[in-house]
Amino acid sequence: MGLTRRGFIVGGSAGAAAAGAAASGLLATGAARAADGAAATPQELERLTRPMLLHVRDAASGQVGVLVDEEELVFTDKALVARLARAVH
Amino acid sequence: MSSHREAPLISKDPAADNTDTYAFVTPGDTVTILTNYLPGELPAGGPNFYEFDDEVRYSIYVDNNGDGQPDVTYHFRFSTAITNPHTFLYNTGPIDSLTSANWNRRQRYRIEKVTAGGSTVLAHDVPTPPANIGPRSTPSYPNLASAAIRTLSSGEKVFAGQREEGFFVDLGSVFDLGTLRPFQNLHLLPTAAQPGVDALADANVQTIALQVPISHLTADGSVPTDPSGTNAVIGVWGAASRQRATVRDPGHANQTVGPWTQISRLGNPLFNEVIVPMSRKDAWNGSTPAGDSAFAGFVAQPELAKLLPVLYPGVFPNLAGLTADRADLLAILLTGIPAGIVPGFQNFTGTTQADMLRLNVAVPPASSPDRLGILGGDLAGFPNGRRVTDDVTTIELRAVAGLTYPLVDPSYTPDAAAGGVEDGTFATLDRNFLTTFPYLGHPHSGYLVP
Repeated sequence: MGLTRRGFIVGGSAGAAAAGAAASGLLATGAARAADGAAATPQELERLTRPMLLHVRDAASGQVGVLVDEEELVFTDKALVARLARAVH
Repeated sequence: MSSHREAPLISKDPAADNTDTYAFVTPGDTVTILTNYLPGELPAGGPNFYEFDDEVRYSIYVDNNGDGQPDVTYHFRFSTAITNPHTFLYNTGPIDSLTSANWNRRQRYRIEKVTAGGSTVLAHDVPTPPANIGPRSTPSYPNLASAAIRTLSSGEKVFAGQREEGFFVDLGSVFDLGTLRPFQNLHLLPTAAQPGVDALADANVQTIALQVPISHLTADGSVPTDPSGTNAVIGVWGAASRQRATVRDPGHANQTVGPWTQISRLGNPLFNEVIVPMSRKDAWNGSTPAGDSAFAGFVAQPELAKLLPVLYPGVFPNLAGLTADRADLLAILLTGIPAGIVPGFQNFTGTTQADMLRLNVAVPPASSPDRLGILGGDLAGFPNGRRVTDDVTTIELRAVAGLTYPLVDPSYTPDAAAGGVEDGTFATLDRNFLTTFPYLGHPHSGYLVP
């Protein structure tokens, strides 16, 4: 299935949001949930009141960092990095 | 300078640049710790006068068990408010109190204390004084500054705001190939000897001052009276951190996010400035004292000790022949001076090599401080902590030149020049140090010192 920019933004944002929630301790299985592509629930999104930044630390290995509040959650999500790479080309 | 603009990255971030750290015993069984930021403030700094950065976390660290890790930490965070959005002015009339309606841009701060037992906010909304603008805008400046000194219910006394720069150095001579005034006539490229020139004579600085009961800082909560006791020595350093990411959006406040990342630190004056190579200075600023063994080689074989005999031919022959590791400097800067070296004194914290100001809190304040500290027989001065009046450049210069090496090798004879070389600014020093907290003088007025 082809990936559109809009599609990436919708899907990628949800993944990043879930990762941010994990960094805040809102999800017990945060990193895994971020990686499985599940969309954040409305309750999870509502609790993300602070800025959040996604940083691709190493594209080759799929290592991603999510900066939220005073923390950074680092996890591996090759599919997310692939969507990012396609979206910016 | 002491640690002003001492590393490539922090030289571009003055609001986070820790320029000097002081720690000394003060009356009432207290320790006063000062950490300075923002090097070389021009007093006439309007319309946006110098201030702390709301996005920086300023920290004071105290180690009381010798591991180079903080046991007591104080974090300071500032917030800035504009009270009149319709003027370009810092003040629209005289500022005669900290609540003056004429004062348009003011800062308050929050203090958090962290120990193994957890984190506590000691105070918030603590006011800072305005910058010293001039006699019409900030009349009776000492009253404004005094009003910003607060004693907390937890026992600490605090002040944060502009001060007269306390550090003095002939910077122009140091970095013009070490042409130390007034010894230029002895230099490899000689000129006539002239008095020293104080590069910071007219500068201001931002100071965070903290006075803490000694019992809050020692490992066992005591107030030691025996200088030989192992519980009598604490290690002190300052540091500044920013959050890892900043998002800039024109028209809106910056958004900062992520873990706090240390970008400046300072224990002993001049450590990062003249010992750590330029290629490693930024890394040093981001590291902690506990990891300073990685830099010990630069202390054991200091570059400056090799330069002096070259720059001053025939003046330092014994130093030129001193090739052994400098155990004296390793002790002074990285482990403290063990008992038995200086009669009646020690500030040894163990074998962990860590750059900290080591303060033996059982040594009372001197009634007549000597600018040369322990080198001058004054056990209350640098390198036993550091007071505002200590001539640390001269002390470290003489130590590097070999004056302290006989402490570890009595067979070594220092060159005559090692006891005479100095920073040439002290003879004409013009500073207005205070005799009470916060000890650094009131800042220069922008009107009077443009």
